[in-house]
Amino acid sequence: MFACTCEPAAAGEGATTITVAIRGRATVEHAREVWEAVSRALLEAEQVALELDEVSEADLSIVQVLLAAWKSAEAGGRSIVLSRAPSAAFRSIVKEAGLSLPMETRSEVVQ
Amino acid sequence: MNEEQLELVRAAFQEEAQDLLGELESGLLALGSAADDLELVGRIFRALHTIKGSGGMAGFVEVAELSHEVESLFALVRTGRLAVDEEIIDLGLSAKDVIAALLGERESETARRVAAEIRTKVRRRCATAGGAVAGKSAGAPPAGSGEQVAAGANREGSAAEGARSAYRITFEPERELFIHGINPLHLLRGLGALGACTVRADVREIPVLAEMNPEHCYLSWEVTLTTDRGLDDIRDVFVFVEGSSEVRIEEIADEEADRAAPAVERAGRPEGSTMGAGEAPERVRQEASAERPTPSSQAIRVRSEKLDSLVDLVGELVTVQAALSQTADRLQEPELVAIAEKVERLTGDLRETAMGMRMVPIGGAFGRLQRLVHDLSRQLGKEVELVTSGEETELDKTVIERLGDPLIHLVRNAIDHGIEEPAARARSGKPTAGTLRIDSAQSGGFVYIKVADDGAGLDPERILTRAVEQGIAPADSGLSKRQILNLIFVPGFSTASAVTEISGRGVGMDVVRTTVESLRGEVTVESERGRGTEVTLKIPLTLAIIEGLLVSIGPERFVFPLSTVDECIEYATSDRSEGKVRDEQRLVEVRGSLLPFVNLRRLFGSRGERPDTEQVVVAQIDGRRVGFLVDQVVGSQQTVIKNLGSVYRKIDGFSGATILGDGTMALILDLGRLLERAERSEEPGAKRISRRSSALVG
Repeated sequence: MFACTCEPAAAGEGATTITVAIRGRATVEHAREVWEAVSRALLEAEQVALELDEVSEADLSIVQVLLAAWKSAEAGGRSIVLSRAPSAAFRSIVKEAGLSLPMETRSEVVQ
Repeated sequence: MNEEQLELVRAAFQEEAQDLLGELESGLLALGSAADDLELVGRIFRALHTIKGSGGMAGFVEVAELSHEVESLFALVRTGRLAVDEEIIDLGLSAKDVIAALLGERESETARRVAAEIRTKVRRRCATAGGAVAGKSAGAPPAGSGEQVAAGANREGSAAEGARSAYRITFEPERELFIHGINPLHLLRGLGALGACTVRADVREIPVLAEMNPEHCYLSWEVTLTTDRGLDDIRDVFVFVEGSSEVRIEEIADEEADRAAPAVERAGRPEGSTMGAGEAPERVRQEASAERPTPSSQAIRVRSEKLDSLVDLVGELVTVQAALSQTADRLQEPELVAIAEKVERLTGDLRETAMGMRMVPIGGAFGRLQRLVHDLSRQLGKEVELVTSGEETELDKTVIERLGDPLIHLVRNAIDHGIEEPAARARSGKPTAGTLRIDSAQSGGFVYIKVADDGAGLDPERILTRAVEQGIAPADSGLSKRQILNLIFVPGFSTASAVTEISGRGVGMDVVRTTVESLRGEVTVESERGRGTEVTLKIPLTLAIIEGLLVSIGPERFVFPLSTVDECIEYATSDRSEGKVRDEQRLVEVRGSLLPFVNLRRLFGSRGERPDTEQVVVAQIDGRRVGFLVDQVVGSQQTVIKNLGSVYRKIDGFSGATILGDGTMALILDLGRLLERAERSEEPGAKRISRRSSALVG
């Protein structure tokens, strides 16, 4: 089951952060949905926090959208971070494809 | 993918599958005489692999399932766990037939049942090799799952294994890769299964979100692979994306592969460094760009109806151009004449180009005959080796389509009745296996196709006896051997008993002749008792537009196919009185020799006075030089051929009609038939065909 939610970050974390959470089977059928969510989030917030720890399966179309989001954020003076480490399934796909996610995790930001 | 897109994918696959099935069939048939040829096995494997992947993607579940299992069978062959035998080849051929049925209009319950039977047999055969059919078959295997089959088989070791080599593989997917159901990770895993590999992704093509189509693929890869597998194994990984994506494989030095390793991840390791976004080497990109074929070098598929339509339009243009040239000649306006000449040249070029686009190699038609030979020889318990040459000879696609049945007929006759059974051949001191040769070659405006066997040959005496019995030839006809052999083409000559008595030629040979002549071609036969028979089809290169020689007889005009014309010679009235033109003997003097001629004015019963000056058009007919007396030679011109209406089609001597520049019509002469007609009939002008010519175009 796939889900992509888009919510403002909890109080105290700054009003300009939106959290985009992707869960379940994130494959090309849902690429447009993810693209719309991160596009909207980047328009509305200065920072987008990604939650990928509940991704059970993914393909490269989703990874591409996130890389595009990172490029857009860089170009627009915004930032994208990972709330926590992505799921093992997601990390595995990124690695297998010879890629890496350029965004930092929240914990690193805090430190 | 919505319904409409799926329908497009299905239609594209149905078209693509024809080539793949042809490839599969020819590979299987060739394997019969080269069971150890691993390259052939690889070809068969790849064809099945593509049919499976593309078929599954296009929603042909049963096609994908069947090809999946047969592919598994050939995976075992490929790895040396199964030896090729007749059963395996037959299973492959049967699977090919059923796939064709499942893809075509013949899809039926029967096809599904046969498919299930083949799958059962394949599984049984795989089990005997100690290998199970890989994968579940509950549904169409997803695109990419086949790699596991191939890779699994490969891991078992194969005869093709050799020393380790390093390769650099550049993979630049088409944008629609994801939409087409291809997961590039499966391809990368497929490479990983072949050996140690490093993967570099190039992310520079990924745009910002606003410029992105999230369903498109913007990634590309460079993989360095060290493996003991061959190039074919690497190519197999990319079989789904062949033609649509850019894949370049090059062998590199081991040191280069080692240099690539530290910077990238080694497949199979749980952790490792990866190349970050934007860090792909510029070198990769440049090399890939240099290798990418330019659009002009790529082939595209065009529906044949579009080509037909193009040729029709060119035909119309040729007619209009002829009208323009005629008008320019009449008005003698220099500017108009110059334009008309330019249009004529361009129209000629356009005609050549358009006709060239319809030319296809005849080899495809030969391929279908291989299967016929295979099936028929097995059915009849005969050993027949088919040897073909000249497959690259090109003919108009319409001509090739119409030649299909006559060729099948000739091959069937040769095997059924010409080539003897092995025991009979052995008794005659021949090799037990008969040879059937099909050769084609182009000469001038014609293609010659020869179908020759080394069988029992024709018996002229028995043919003549039979013909006399049937009232086709008079007993004291004094026919030459060639003329007797040609009797087999006379409609009604052959009967079942005649077939047996005369070693079979004659069954439907009149149909072969009718078809070939409807193509404005000729058919001849030569045979030597006990040595074999050779049938030659002489076919014009194209059916649509020819170079013609326009002549006039009385008020009418006719067209000689220019390719048959040797020369034109003018004769005045004085030549008749001097005996150079001998009307009664139908002989004309050409440079001191006498040449037979046909007086077309007389044959057609043209009205009006015979002109003072006449011309003899000398043409080649079946190797003979024959003259045709006409009033005047108007000149050569491009001739768009129109079929005769069905009412007039049976009138001897005309193969078609054409519209002239002034809107009037001219009949195209069938010289062979005209000569026969003239020889048959002493009385001049039996029918006044030319008068009715305006109603003839069909």
